[in-house]
Formats: sequence, structure tokens, C-alpha cells
Amino acid sequence: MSRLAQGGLIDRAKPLQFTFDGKRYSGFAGDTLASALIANDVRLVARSFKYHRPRGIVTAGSEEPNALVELRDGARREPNSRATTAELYDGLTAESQNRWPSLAFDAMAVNQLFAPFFGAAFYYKTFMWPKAAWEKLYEPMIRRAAGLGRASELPDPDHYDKVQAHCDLLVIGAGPAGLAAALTAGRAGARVILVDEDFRLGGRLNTENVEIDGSAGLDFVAATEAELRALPNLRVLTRTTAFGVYDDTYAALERVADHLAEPAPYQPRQRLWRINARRAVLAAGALDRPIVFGGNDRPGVMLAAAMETYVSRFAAAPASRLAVFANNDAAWGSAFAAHDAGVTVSALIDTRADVSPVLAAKAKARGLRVVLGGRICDAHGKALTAIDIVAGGRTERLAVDGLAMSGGFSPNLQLTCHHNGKPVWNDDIAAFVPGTPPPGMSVAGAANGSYDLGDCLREGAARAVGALADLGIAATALTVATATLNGTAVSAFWHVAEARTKAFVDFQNDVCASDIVLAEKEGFRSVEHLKRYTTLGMATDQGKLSNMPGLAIMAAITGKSIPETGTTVFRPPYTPVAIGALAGHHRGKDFRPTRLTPLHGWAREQGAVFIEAGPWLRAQYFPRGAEKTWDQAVNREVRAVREGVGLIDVSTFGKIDLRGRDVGAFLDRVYINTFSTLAVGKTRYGLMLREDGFVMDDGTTARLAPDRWVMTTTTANAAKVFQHLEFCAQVLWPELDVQLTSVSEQWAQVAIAGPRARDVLARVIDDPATIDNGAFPYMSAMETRVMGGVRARVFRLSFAGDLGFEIAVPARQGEALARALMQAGAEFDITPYGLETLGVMRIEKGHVTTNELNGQTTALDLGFGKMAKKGDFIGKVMAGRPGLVDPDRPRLAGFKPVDPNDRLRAGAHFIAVGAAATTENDLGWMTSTTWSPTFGHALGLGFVKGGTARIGERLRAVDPLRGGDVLVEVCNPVFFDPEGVRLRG
Amino acid sequence: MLITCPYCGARDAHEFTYLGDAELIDRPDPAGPEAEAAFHAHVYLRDNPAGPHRELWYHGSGCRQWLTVTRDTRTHAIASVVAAARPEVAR
Amino acid sequence: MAKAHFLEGIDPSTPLAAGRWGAATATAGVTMRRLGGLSIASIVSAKGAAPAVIAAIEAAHGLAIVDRPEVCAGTGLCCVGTGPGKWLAVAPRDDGEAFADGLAAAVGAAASVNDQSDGFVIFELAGARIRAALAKCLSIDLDPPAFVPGSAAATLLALVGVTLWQIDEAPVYHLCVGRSLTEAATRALAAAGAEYGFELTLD
Repeated sequence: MSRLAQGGLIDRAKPLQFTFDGKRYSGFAGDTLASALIANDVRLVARSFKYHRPRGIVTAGSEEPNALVELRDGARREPNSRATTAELYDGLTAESQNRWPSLAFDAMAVNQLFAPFFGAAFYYKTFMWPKAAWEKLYEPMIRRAAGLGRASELPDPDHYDKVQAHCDLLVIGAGPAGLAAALTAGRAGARVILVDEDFRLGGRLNTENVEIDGSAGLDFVAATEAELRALPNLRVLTRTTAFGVYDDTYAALERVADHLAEPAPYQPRQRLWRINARRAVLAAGALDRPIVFGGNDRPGVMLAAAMETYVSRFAAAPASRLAVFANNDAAWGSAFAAHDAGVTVSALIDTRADVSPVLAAKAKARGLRVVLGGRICDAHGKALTAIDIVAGGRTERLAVDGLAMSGGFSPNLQLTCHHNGKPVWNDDIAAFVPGTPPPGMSVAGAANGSYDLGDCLREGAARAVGALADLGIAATALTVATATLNGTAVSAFWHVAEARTKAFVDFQNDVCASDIVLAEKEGFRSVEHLKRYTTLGMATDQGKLSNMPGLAIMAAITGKSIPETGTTVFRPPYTPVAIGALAGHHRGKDFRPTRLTPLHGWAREQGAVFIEAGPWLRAQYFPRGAEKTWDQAVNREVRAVREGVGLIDVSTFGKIDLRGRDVGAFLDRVYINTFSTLAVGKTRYGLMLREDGFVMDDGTTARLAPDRWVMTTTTANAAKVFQHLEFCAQVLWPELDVQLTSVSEQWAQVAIAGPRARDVLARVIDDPATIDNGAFPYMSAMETRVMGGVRARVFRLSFAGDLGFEIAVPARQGEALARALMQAGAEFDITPYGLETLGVMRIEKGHVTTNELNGQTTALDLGFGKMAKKGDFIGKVMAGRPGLVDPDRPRLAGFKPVDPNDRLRAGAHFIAVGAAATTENDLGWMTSTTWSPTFGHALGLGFVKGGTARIGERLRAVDPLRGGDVLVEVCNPVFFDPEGVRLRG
Repeated sequence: MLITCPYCGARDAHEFTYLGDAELIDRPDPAGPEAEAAFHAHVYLRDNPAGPHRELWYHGSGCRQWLTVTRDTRTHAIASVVAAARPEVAR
Repeated sequence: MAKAHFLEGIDPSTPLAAGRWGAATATAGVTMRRLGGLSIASIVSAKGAAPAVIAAIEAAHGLAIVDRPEVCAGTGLCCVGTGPGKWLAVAPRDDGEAFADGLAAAVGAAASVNDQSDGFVIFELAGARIRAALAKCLSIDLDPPAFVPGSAAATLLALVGVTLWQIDEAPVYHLCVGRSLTEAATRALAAAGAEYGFELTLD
């Protein structure tokens, strides 16, 4: 056991059992999976992506490139989970990934032997030819060999929340700088949100043995947390990663229940926070960096800061004989912490020739062996057993089982770059520091390159004061008199040139120093090219560890400075985010809101089969008795209407109330035809164009009183037309007196059609005399009463093309109206019909719908050219363009198969008989087709050059995609009742 | 992105629909000379400035006002939001 | 198979039944009650006529309303600002047609009035965790001083267009939803409130 006998922020009274690769282990509350594995002496935890090299834990945070596991099992199995951030819970199960047949013996490790062939861009170069083999052979093979973890492929049993928050100040990171910022702002009364990805507040204070104003760092954390949590104006979110900065909005992911075996009932697994923060302080700390030397990826080699975290915070010793290899003072602190905790530190190797006397004295006091001006060129062992130290011209092999490396720190400045901010190189700390952060963001502490503890505290407080001052909120900075001074000196060092074995830059994507040399040789010198060519920084860790050494090596090869070489662009998310969290509750059938008509319950009673029509659920057809297929029902419904009477729910139409003195003039400008002359009590079909001359929508508008009109729009365009009319009324012609109100939700609307329609309505309307053909001819409209006093609007029109009425009643009366009509029509065998039947009948009648009003057709194309008035209307000028009035443009016509047994298909193109089916010979295309029970054969609508001038002509309807080639005859598009006798009867 | 609607206050951009260049406010005179050329320019020709841009947004999921928003296309910083109706006729 | 949420077992076209849903807390953290017996009318002013509408409402009903996103409540009438010169008028009476006709007569040519009593459904939202639940559905800031009793907003609730106003400090809210989208809004609030215990009342 490598669990230290004492210390650590773990609860030894709460042991937790877990399994890794099927073997049982034990840890404590407060452990991560990584710390528990270290405490159980598990050093080999993963295989690498390309070479299948054995790998161990490298970091203690979300930047971990190696220790990726499949966490949990069954439907909750999540691949590529970082063992370093997975909190231990009782019963946790994890499996290593990317190995076969087992982690200890991985057959794929033979890849290493071929490593000389597996260099940068190996896949690109090798699997280029033949092209067809990619999909079937190469890609599956490569994916099997190189894949990471396995997704569960079962439906996710958890649910996810999305939450909106608003605050004056968002503080990202709860280390010393973040805590000082949050406390300063919280005390000032500002609305503050403090987020940290860890499950404990404190950041480095959880690890480092420091004092603040004479108290232990941990006591400072405890006191600060208690005060923060008591403030009503401050929200603390732990286990929460701020992962992206968008316009005015920060995105953060809270792992609500990932530390539990499963979420409590109804508890979300994760919550996506959208935070509108007026100001933000980024205090995300800094990350230790690896040094590139031979075998630096062997299990047992980890970052010095991580080693210190495992020893101090988790009381888990990653090694029994440890060496430290560094270029900076901080790593010496890590070495001292390990030594003080009882770990044998065999050597402290620093690349610098000189270090401060204070450090040297501290090492001497502990009896540590120090090698200055030294390097480790190679590490050995499947799991680390020895290192080769180069110093003073000679090489020494030292037996160790752990190595803590540190190439200095990189500020965690990713979020400052999400608005295209460019990091700036700072030679003093050999690191990039934030350039121009997004508006409203300032940076404090280690994330700003300020590593000294006192500086972190002071900077955090000062940034909060500054941010709140911008908002007019006075704040007093938290004051700190004394804080432990640790050395922060560093001297840039990236790559041990003497390395004899593979030296890794990107652990997760197996990119070696030699790959960068190769990329440079082949001309991929820009960092963006280097990244794509070698895959450096493209893994799930997004190069948090590898970018700096990678570009430093490229800079050295090309003889440029690091700032001249530049960095790649950091983009959101900072760490991976589950798609489920982005979706929240908008999944499955709740992907978007479902709209139900006021007659939905009635239609369900009638046995309707429903279909999604945009957001609406509409009755598609109403199967009866022994009907087995939808077309049996539809044929019956069509015949019922044509021979008797049917009814359909048309409540989904957009309904717009227009009032004012100038509505007539207004409608004249938005419709191509004239409305100002429409008499009260009449309704008229109208066509609306876009300003470019193409049709936007059609519908009818009725005049109910001199200054009161009601417009119907198509279901699909209801919102778009309302928006358009608002634009016309508010912006184009504000001088017109027009008030627009959407009344779509207020009115249920039922259409009845068929020869018996009037007989049915006469039994429901309070005054039957008012619907006589003489009193209420085709295209009439009135406000009236039905069902004994219920307010109603009745319109004499029919999309089905038969004698018909549309009856609107207040929505809550809709189902009562449908039932009253069914009862009144019982003796005529009144039949409810759905969208399919309407679709058949409108083709029979030649009525156009979305298939024809597809945004590419003009009034002329649709045969409505004569409707256009002389005066101005929207789209008039542009509709007159030569190309749009070209007589050769395909125009609407009807089509029927010459052989009545042939079926027609929408999408078929018209070709002259005897001509080749080529683009040059294309005469037009079919837009809508149906089988018509009324005529006993198929019917179609479509656009053909010459339009109805070709009536009687025969053409081929060619459908090469589906192998169709049918002889058709061009017809009047109005097949049914072309004289309108039924309609007007 | 937040758009501060003059009626509703700061609202998420999801509540708005974008139409385009605020030049669309000025519909050409259909009876004027060169009407076709003027409409062609009105419908199709747009500047694409890198910088401040006056554009039309509709607050369809809020107060249903048409708004003229001056937005910097490089940064999305919004300098002003006013009702799109011409000032001499605005309410 | 385990369901991620109780709503996944209920089709969006099936009305959510009244009663308790979600976590079995002692009291429901979020309550949603459909209010019956209300008349609702929309008022849209003619251009420049908002002051005339305000004066007419005051003369007819003794209620001083404002042309801002606020709710002004008197006895028997409350008016919610939904846009410039636009209000939603709500009254505790069940003769919506007569209510709208009365308002129309009062404002004359200054505004267009439409009975919307059947077009909208108003819910009362309350409970100790109502703000937390609404934060999952709305993007607007509901914390004081941004939103206080009397504040109103036309906005989106989980992609559904709604009008929301605050009744008191508790806080209790009223939520006005288009009839076709009431189930969608109910589902969104049920999903958001499930972890706190959700209670739906349909009088």
C-alpha cells in the first residue's frame, strides 16, 4: 500500500470499495479514482492511442492525457473519463480502454516495433490508395486499433438540466485569487457566482503547505468558504467547469451527480449553466508542464505538481524512491513536500546551474541529493525502474520507481482566447500570459502569470474591486498582511537533446519530438499546420500539456523565438461536454414544443392517426372497421366528401385580426390583388409576394366590418406572415392606421365540405336562413351564432373544392362544434377526414400548397398572373423582371397518366416524347401527385414550359432516380368541378 | 448575445429574428425613375462592413417590435438599439 | 428500461394529469395551477394612441395603466404590458366576449381589442423553488431588483412564447400561454420542477 499513514484531505473513517479492470480495491471518501489507484499501487492504467504503450497517471486534474477510463457500466458507461477528476464513490467500476486482450499484455503493443513507420501523417501517406478501400478496409481497421473507449450505445438513463443565471461578477476558479475576488465582491453586496471544477474550494491551498496571515492555508479556505456560503448574494458552484465564453454569456457545466453511483430520483446528472455575467474574473490557475526526454511517458513519470497533490492532498505516494527533474523553484517545493511526507527522494535534478541559496539550504537541511545543470535523457522500464541522468559530461543510471518532472507552469488562459484574444509571451516566467481578454473579463493570480501566493490574493481582490467599480459598486479589497513566500524562478527548458529513446510531446496522441522534426522537414512549420499534420494537441485534452513543448521544439528547429512561432487558437469547450447537457430536456419528443389543436381530444376519440406537421400534431386519417392501410381510409374519406359531406379540423391556419381605417389600403400593398374594394361580408383569396417577386404565402381575407378584417395564412407560414405584416405596418408604412393582432389561438376552425355541407350547417347554425345560396353565396363571410348562442364566424369557401363552409368558434367550443356537426350530419354519413384526404382533394381541385409555393415560383408561374393589379404592391417591380415574365418559364398545369393504371411520382421531370432524357430537354417537373378515388386514376400538378397552353399534349414524366418513365397528358390543373358548379351550388 | 430591447430590456438573441441591413427600411419609390434598378439594389445589393452595421431585428418572442440594432460585426458589440420605425412617425 | 425522466413515458399529446410529480418532497417545491373563470383580451393601440388608451381605461375602469412591461391591477381588472401600446387585460369573470366588447367600447378607435379568453391559458406558479425551476426555462433575470412584484415580461419559456408577471414577494407568478402550447409549457415546468417536487392543479 502506498497510502501514507497520515495526512491528506481524505476521510479515513469512510472507506469506499471500487473495481478497476474487474479487480477490487479500496479507497476513502475524498479520493479521486486516480488517487485511489495510486494508493493501491496501480501504476499502469492505460494504453496509448497509436503505439499502445503502457501509460500511467500524469496529472491530478482535467488536463490528464493518459488516465482515460471507461467509467461505470451498462447504459451509464462513459468512455474517456479522466480518472484524475472522477470522484471515488462506493461501488465505482472502471475499465481501462484501448487495450487487447488485457492492459498488462496488449497485443497491439507490437505497433511500437513499427514505430519508425508510424511517424507523423503515417495514415495520410500510407492509406491513400485505392480510394475505395478507405471506407471498407482502412478506416475500420485503424479505428479498431486506435480507438479510445467504447460508448454504451444504450439510451442515456439520466437527464440533464439547462439553467440560466445572471450576476454582476463571475469568478472562475476558487484558488487563492478566486477566493479573494469572490470574498471582496460578496462583501460589497454584488451578485456573485463562484465556480470551480474541483469538488473542494481552495485550489493550490489544498496541496501546498502555506500560511496566510499566520494561519494555515486550509484554515483560510475553511473560513472563507464559511463566509461565502453564508452570503445570500453569492452562489458557490463546485464540480463546475466554466468551459466557454460567448457573447455576453459564459457557459459552465456542473457535474451534479457524477460523484454518486447514480443520481438521486429526479436529480439531473449534469447542469449546463448559461451565465450572463456583467464582469468576470478568471482565476483558473496554472498547469505544470512536462519535459520532453526519452521514455517520459512511462508509468511512474508524472508532473511534479501532480505528485505533490497526491502526496499532500490524498496521502497517496506515487513512488517509494522518487526523483525530481525540473527547471524551476516550485518543483523543489514538491520535492520537499514528498520528502517531508516520508517518501524517499533519491535525487533532485535541475537543469539550472544555479538556484537560490534559500532553496539549496532547504534541500541540504533535508539531506537531499541535488544535481544542478543536469538532465534526464531516458527513463526505463515498462513501469519506471530507472533513469539516466546526464550531468557534468557523464551519464549515471539511477534506480527509481517514480519521477516528478516540471518544465515550469503555463497560465490557464484558454478562456481569455475565446473572443480571439492572443496570448502574449513573457520571458520572465517562460510562458504565455493573457493578451486581450473578452470584454468584461480580467485575469488574476497564476492564470495571469502571478505565481506568488501573496500576489494571487492581492490580485484577486484588486480585480474584483476594479470590476465592481465599472458597475458603480464600491468594494473594499480583502487585505492580506503576510503570505508564505515560495520561490517562483524558472529558466526555460523543453527538450533533452541527448534522449536516445522515444521522447513524447503529446502523450494522448503519441506525438514525439521526432514527429515535429519530420513535420518541419516536410514544410509544416506553422503551428496550425504542425497541429493538423502531427495531431499534436488534437486529442480530448486539447493539448493542455503538449502545446507549449511542441511549439518550443518547433521554434528551436526553425530558429525562431516562441512568440514568433505563436500558438494555436483555443476554442470552447475547455473540457469535453456531453451532448446531453447541451440538449437538456429538449430530447426525444420534447426536442421542440408540440402544438395541439383545440380539437385534438375529439380527433383522438374518433380514432385519428396523427402526423407531425411542423410543430403541430394533426389528424392524418381516421381508420374505420377493417381498413388495413392508410389509403383505404383516405379513399373512403374522399368519396364521403364528394358524395355526401365530411369535416376537417383547420384550426392550425394562422389567423390575423386587422383593424383600422387603412386596412384596405394596407392589404392592397401586401397582396398582389385588390382588397380595398372588398365588401363587408365577403372574403377573397389573396397572394402575397416577397419583395423579390416570388410568392411568400396565400390565403383568404374576410371583411367583417368597414374597419375589421380577418386574414388566414397557411399553417406553415403563420408566424412568418405575421412578422412580415408587422414589418410593413411598423417600418414601411407607419402612417397607415392598421392594428394587427394574432388570434390564431382564440379560434377553433372546422371546414365542412361536400354536397350535403349546407344541410349539416343548417342544423347547427342558429339562423339557417342566413346560409341560403342567395343570402350567402360562395366567398361570403359573416359573424353569427351557432349551437344556441355560441359566437361564430362562418366563411363560404373550400380548399377541398366542393360546396363548403369554414366555421370558427372560440377554441373551448371547438370540440362541441365538431360533435354538433357529427350529430347533425349523421343521416348523411358525415365523415371526419384528415390531412391526407385534404391533400388528395386539393390536387383534384388544382389548389396549390407548399409543394408549389416553394419560394421559387411567381404568381405568373402559378397561373395567378391576371390577379395582379395595376398599382403598387410588395414584389410588383421585381416580379416584372424579364426572367420572371419569360413565357418559357415552367407554369402550373395538371397531369394524368395516359394509361390509367400508371402511377405518378412527384419529382419526375417532363420530357417531350421521342426526346432524350437530358437536362437540355427538360421541360419542367411534377410537384404533387395522388391517386384520385374520384377519377379512378392518378393525378398530378407540376410546372411545365408553356403551362396550360400544352393542354392535351402528351409528355414523358421521367424519374431516373426511381426508374419511372410514364406517358402523361397535360391537363387543366383544376380536374374537379372546373366550372365551379359544386363550389357555388 | 444580449440585445437591449427599448421596451423589454436586455434579452437573449434567441428571442429575436434577424432580417438584414437597415437599408430595407427605405423601400424605393415604385413609380420613380429607374425603379427596377432601385429595387434590384434594395433587394440584392448589400455592403458587408467589418465594423459597425445598422441592421434590422424583430423581437418576435417578446414585444414584437422591429428594431434597428447597430452592431459591430467584428466583436458583436452593440452600440444602440432603437425602434425601426422612422422617427418622425414613431409613436 | 430505465427512463431518464417520467415525461419520457408520457407522449406530448397526452395531457399531464393533475397531482404530484417528481421527487416525493414533503411539500411540492414548485406548484402550477391552471386558473379558470378568467376573461382575457388583447389591446393593441393605434399609432400614437397609447395615451388615449391609458386615459380611456382609467375613465372606464379607474385603473391607471402604464406603457411599460408591468402589470397594473385594480379591482376586477388587471392589465399587463406586452409591447409598446399593447396590453393583455385580464378579469375574473367568465363572459370573455362581453368583457372584450366593453373594453372595445371604452377605447373606441384608439385601439383594437380582441377577446382572447379561449386563446390563452393562465397558470399560477408558486412554491419555494419556483425561481430555481423558472431559471431552467427562461433566460430573463427574475431576481430583484430586475424583476419584482408588478414586473411583466413577454418572453420564451423553453421555446414557448409566454407572458409572465409577478404577483407578490413570495414569489407567486402568473404565466399566460397560448392554448395550443399549454401542454408543452406544462411539460417544461414539470421537467424543471421534478427534482423539487412538482404539483399540477387543474381546476
